[in-house]
Amino acid sequence: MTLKQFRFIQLFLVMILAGLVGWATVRQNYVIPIIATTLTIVLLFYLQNKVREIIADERDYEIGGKAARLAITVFCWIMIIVMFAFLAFRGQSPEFEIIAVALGYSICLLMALYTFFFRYYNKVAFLEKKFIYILVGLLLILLLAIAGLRLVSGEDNWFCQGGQWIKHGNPSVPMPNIECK
Amino acid sequence: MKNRIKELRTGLNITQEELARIARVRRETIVFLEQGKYNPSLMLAHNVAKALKTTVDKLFDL
Repeated sequence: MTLKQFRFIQLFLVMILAGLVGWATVRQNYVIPIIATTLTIVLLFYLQNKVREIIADERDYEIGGKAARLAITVFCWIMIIVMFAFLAFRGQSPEFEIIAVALGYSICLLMALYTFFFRYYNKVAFLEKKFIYILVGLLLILLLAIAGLRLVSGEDNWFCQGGQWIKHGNPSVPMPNIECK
Repeated sequence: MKNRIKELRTGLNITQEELARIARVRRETIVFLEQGKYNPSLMLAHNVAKALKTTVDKLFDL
């Protein structure tokens, strides 16, 4: 398969996927997008290996590496600021805290993945015991943090149910002053 | 880094596409190499020099 043929198929598949996801989302069906996206990724990965021409060479990897590193740095800094902004305004809506927590864990996952892949491609220090201990330690801390948040803080909040704000536990913020829909 | 890639390539009547295929890179990389806008890895420099029937030190102005 030539690169041109692959690009054409790739564009076609992405357009089909976009239409399918849009159609399913409107009908609030989220299983189809998950299945369709997964199948598309697998199919494109398979077809990419069939391309005879060079898709990416050392220059692409060098530029891509610099761009990815900068993108990760900028993304993390912006998301940290956004996370704290959501936390600061969590009194306005209980969802703000959930969004902030989700952002925080996303940032942690991104950093963990970057570190893992960097070490993998570095190859030199990947199997060092010190690295494994640090990785296991970080995972344990992450698990403890999740468990702690779940047990200690996650339940004390205001929840919107049946058009009324219901107090759950002992919230530290007053009842939201926006309409409960 | 200045080099003689274009000079030797045209002398051997090889297109950028063909040189890229031999060196296992994209044609755009050969373009950037010829313009001196990209410093190749040792492996790539060796492959290009071999394709142009010369040596790395004669190909690049080090």
